[in-house]
Amino acid sequence: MLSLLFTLYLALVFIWFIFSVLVITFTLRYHIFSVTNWMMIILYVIISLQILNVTGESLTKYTGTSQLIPFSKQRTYEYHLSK
Amino acid sequence: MSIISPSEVTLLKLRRHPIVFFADSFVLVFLLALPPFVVFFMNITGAQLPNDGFIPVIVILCASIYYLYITLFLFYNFFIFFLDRWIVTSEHVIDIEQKTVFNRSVSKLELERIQDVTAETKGFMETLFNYGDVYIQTAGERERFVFKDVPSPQFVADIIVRAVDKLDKKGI
Repeated sequence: MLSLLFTLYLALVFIWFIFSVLVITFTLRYHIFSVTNWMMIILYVIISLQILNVTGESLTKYTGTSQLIPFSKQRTYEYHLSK
Repeated sequence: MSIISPSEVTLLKLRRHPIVFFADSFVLVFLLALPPFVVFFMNITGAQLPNDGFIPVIVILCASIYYLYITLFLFYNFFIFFLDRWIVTSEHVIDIEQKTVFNRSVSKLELERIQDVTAETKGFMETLFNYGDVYIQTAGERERFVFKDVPSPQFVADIIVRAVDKLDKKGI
């Protein structure tokens, strides 16, 4: 269930990333020397990184890890302990 | 290659009034503020989500995607607002319209072809913030150019009329 959820999440983040890169590239293509444009792009990147950072921290808080693969390893480890 | 030739003088560079961007983005800003309000009301009423199992993880991932996409749409709105431009030079009127990321049109109109310029301000917001539409009637293929939601439409129309007059006098 969690792996499926993370896969879905990663797919949506991937689409978001591709679209963000496209929008930023096209904005810069037409207005590369505009200070306002650069400020908006920097602001957007900072906000996005902050959202991803908060997501990672929250996941760490609730699951003990923010990475995807160790989930299964962790569960296996706990399983052995209980045996 | 530049869209404006070196012999031309740029008289006006216009974008939509910033209030239009804020009005368009209002729904997105409201959506950004919605989850904190929900949490606030849940705290007041004492309602709580189950704190075990997958539910906290699902909430975190959904909130993350929700915020990432709303921020993206806000930035996208700004991008469309920022790249929509109108330029008035001593010889041409240039209409650069960014409809979507991959849909951009650039139209150029000679001032000599302009027959009539109309400035229109209608509605409470437009009157309050002094913005509106400027319609340029032409004799060309595209009969009417529209500068949408530009600041001080009366002033813009005045500048265009003066530029046309100046060009006519030069021609005589």
